[in-house]
Amino acid sequence: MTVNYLPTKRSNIKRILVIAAIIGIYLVENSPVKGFVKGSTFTYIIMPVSWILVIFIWKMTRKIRPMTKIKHKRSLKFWASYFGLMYIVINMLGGLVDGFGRSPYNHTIGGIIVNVIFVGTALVGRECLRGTLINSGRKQENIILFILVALLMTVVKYPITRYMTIRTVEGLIQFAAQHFLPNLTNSIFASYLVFVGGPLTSVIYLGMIEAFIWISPILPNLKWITSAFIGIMSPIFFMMFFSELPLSQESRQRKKEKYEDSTLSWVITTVVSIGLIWFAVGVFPVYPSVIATGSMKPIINPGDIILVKKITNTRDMEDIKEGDIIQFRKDSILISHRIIGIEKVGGGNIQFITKGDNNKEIDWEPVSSQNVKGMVKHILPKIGWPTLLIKGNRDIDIEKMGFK
Amino acid sequence: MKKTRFLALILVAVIMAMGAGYAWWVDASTVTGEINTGTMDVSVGFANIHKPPNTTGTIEESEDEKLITFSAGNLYPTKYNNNDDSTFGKIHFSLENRGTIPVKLRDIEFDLINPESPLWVDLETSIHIHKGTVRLPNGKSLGNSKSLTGTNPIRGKLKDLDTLLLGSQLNDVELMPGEAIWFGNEDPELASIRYWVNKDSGNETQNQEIGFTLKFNWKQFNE
Repeated sequence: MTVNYLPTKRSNIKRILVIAAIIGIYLVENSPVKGFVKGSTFTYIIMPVSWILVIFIWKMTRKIRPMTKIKHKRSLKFWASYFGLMYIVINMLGGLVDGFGRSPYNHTIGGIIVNVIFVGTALVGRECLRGTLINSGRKQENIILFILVALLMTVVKYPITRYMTIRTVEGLIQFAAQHFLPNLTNSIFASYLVFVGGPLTSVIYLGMIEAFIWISPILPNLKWITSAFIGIMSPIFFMMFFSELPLSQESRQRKKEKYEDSTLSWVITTVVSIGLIWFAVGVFPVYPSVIATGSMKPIINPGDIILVKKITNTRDMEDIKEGDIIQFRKDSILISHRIIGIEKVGGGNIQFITKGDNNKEIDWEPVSSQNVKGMVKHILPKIGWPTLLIKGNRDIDIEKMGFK
Repeated sequence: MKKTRFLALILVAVIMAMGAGYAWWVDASTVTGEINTGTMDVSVGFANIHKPPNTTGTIEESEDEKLITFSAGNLYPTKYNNNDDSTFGKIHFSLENRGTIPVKLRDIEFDLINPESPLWVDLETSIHIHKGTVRLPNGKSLGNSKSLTGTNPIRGKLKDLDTLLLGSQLNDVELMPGEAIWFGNEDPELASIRYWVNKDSGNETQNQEIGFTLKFNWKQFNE
């Protein structure tokens, strides 16, 4: 069966109408209008009906041909679903590190059906509108257009009240990193998919991700930093891989250009670099620390690097016992000494009596649990000397080390 | 696509910086476990405390704005007087639906700090609950609020806070996107969950440090 597409024509009027529709729907969703009906009626009945109307209107208008030839459509759908699956797998791998949690969504049969309709209509409607915005222009790739369309689609994804509840700089950065930027990069990739293969391609990609989130009974419970890393980088890497697929004449021309390094090696280098930087600054549960003094000789010598496992909850704190080497903060410096006694103080708190193995006397001030940073797990000899040479000993006040 | 690689390089630099910032901000003393998808997001909007004179008290929200940690100390017996705020302490916080779907309370995780303290036996509480809209950055709310507890507050022991809340209208309320629940008076800045030591308590309640962690778990509501 052949499908006849009309030639692509620039249509600024169509774009303006689509932008107006997107903003109009957003304003209605966030207006006091919905206060006149029961909340769940508006969310689960009125809005899906509205989106179905949008899809119907889109269907009745002139179809715009995307960039890729019809014969590559099946391959495009495969790759879109493949990248959707990869996104899910990467998030689940993140869950292996950060843990999983119960999904908050309704998993009764009726609830799933309602959610499929509620999410599905909005998804298809938005991608149809995205398709018109992206493909109403020139046939050439336009990354600026992709970004602008993605920005619009991302902004309208969050209710106005969500933006109103950003009250601090930290809150803004966390919202941007955990939610806004991952959705933006996903939306940029979706825009690229729409450009190459039309709305169905992006519906497949985004639909797989949404289906997983809404239907899976358990979800990865990622820290916001993990969520930010996975959410931001995955779509960008997908786009880079996708752009090298020989699906269009433009892609074949790009493959003829000589790159000094392949995309895969670039991805690996990037991930490893980010991992090393994060490891060094202490993002992960285990972090490195350079030893500057000889208070723990002969086990730990100046220039050694210790790997410290963070104490993050009361259970970790209760696992600490006499004989363990802990790292704690005293004024502005970090000290790593062995525990020789544990005392209970008022209010159910505990404090540690510590001593350096090479010190004659115990540390004159007990260490409260709030000052304990972590427990020393491994020692890497001598590799911290470059850091000591760079920093010198000018930051370390020996008087503060607690000798009697 | 060299523009894509340039964009990716910028993002890599941002992510590296984010890691450094995260390591600086991470809260080492609380554990979080709530799934936050963006579509469903109920978070603590504000949390603050008014301590009785000569006592200690703190209230903190966790990094992900889901867990509230309250602690108090050096409390002493008082004769509770509704019109005299030196006779009780006040903690108030709000829960805001920042997501895009209606939600309902699923359960409450409530853990006592220093549960063996004899102070818990005599620590009383009085709770008002209101529902309204989320607060704007300037502290104002949009629209009117509605009391979920009526003119008579919920009364009981502070150690039974979760039971008291689950037995209230809070358990049945549907929180729409943009709506908030706060514990206290109609004005979010005024009185809230009050606490005081019963005037008949003994000397064993002196010099005690107590507290609790409180987390509300929500589920989708689409009846």
